[in-house]
Amino acid sequence: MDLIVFITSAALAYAIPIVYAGIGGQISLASGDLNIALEGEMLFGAFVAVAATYFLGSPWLGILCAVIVGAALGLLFGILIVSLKGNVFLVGITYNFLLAALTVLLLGMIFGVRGSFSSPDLIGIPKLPLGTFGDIPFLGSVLSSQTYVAWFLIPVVFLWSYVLRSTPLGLRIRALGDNQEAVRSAGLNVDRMRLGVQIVCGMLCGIAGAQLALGALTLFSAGMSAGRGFVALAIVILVGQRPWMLVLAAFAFGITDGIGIKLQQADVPAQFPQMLPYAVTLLALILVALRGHLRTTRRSR
Amino acid sequence: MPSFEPVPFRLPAGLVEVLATFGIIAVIGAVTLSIMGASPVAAGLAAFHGTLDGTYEIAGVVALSLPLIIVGFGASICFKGGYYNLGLESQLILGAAAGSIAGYYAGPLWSPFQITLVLVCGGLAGAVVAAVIAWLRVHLNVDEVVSSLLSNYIVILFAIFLATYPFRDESRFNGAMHRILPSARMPTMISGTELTWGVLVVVAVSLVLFWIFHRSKLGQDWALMGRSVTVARSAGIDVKKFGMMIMTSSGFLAGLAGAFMISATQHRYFANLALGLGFDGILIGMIARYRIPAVVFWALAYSWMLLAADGIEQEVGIPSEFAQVVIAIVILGVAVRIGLLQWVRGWRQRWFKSSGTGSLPAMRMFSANREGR
Repeated sequence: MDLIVFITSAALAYAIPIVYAGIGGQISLASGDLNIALEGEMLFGAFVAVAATYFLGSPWLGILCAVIVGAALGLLFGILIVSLKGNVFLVGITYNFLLAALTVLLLGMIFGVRGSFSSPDLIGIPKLPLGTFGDIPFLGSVLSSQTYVAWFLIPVVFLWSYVLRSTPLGLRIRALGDNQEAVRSAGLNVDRMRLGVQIVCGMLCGIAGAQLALGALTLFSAGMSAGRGFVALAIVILVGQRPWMLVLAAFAFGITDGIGIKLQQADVPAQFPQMLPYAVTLLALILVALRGHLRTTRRSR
Repeated sequence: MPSFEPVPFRLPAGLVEVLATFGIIAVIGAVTLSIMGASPVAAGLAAFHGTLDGTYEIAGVVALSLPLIIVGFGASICFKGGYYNLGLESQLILGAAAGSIAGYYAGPLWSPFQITLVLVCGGLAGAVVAAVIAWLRVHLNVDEVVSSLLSNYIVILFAIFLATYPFRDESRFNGAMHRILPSARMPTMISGTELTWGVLVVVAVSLVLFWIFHRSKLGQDWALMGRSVTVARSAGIDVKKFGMMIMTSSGFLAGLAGAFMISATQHRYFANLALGLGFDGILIGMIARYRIPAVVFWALAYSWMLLAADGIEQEVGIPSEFAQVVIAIVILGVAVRIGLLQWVRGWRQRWFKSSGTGSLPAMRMFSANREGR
């Protein structure tokens, strides 16, 4: 039973930042842009959250700063791909590279350290007290160790799911991805909408970064996003426009990560368990593509 | 608007571009340094002493640029063909591991033969990984951007596994392979420096690629693939086969770059060797806009900037990542340069009220994203 508790909490720790970034990616993909800058924006959000929390002394201000900076990064990314018509992949690769280098540079300049920064003055995001619910066997210890930001995910997914399915705004975002010309001829400002989408995406990546750096642990280390942005992107491609499937898939990959961590303590070459979340994501991507492929070939016969 | 056309020399156009880009890099670099509280002049002197002050330093710049040139080619030909192989990073590293294995285990052979063997093994290792990603893209329509990004983590961990378990040098503390045999090492060109006769390999590869991409029919088809898959298909190109070829050859070049590093300078693969080099190659390809001679130039410039930044770090104390930040900012500018020019032109028109509508349709064509996705 300890094992289940361990794996569940590891899975949640892995999944929650991915879901935040994944919703950003989902909004972005629904509006027609496959945003590979999620990774860099999340990493930078983590850095900003740590730096702001350290200097302002409150994780809430840290989260706020991460969200504001994330919005600014999203806006800049939007300007590059929308207003200046850059190729979304080329801009995305460079953006990731820029933000990763920038975190290392700022880490050296502000804190005078290379690689990683941690301090007793760094306060993590408080955990939501559950009262008597915390006494539920097994589940209680997992649930009571989740931060406010983690719980905040539930209303966010509900809201996004509602907006996407049942509001004119969601319809417009989806229409943007399907046919920009149609949106333009409906009299809407396509460029402004895409910019808005990127801002929201950046904000969500900011929260994802804050949860990553101040959630389960309180530190920043260079490259700590470790491909989570790419995994989020892969999940978005897998699940399409289904927000709750995103949560489920992220949790499933989180479980493989938890299993991986456990396996590393066993007598297995450490590299294979470390590969696990990436390999499973890739495999899932291939299987879904295979299913689609089989379906289309069957239809054409 | 003919008045905006450059004067009718042909050659200086490239020179102007180079000078302009360098000027922008210098200005952004100086501004960044000033913001960080360092004197740009002192930093400039440190950069000079670290990179251009003597044979050893210059040879170091060239030696560092050689693998960057090869992987820069890999990125260029791939992006030129309209495929985004972002797994160059791990293909390079697996190439280094494969080259390291071939350089130690394939007995002492006649040196030129063994060096070739190392390079080819490395190239093939990279090509195999890229071919798998390409196959998934071409036949199952798995987006190669995401699959290659994910493959990086898997393949790099696999290379580290190879160095930690089956091919480990027991005498080394950490995961590292055996030092390759002397017959697998490239002979030094200028004694006392890191520069080897491997330069000739790079020159040969450059010439072949230059001929293919700037002089042959194949190169035209290649560029056509990059511009529009639909047009390429109607021009009679087997798009699937061609796509496989584009991805696989870029993977081969990445692996070759990794094996080259092993044979020329590093002499063994170990965990964390060459991390980030593949992405450097991608940036070089982008700033060179996929032109073969420009890749050579920008790889040299890039390695100069990296070493200059190291010099600045030692003497002025600014972390060397600042160079990467500056380079990335400039490359962002390059990536959006068409839109940027259009924007500048729009402003100019607003200010000078000149007639004409600019060249909007042509720009639409450039900014068209990939088809068929």
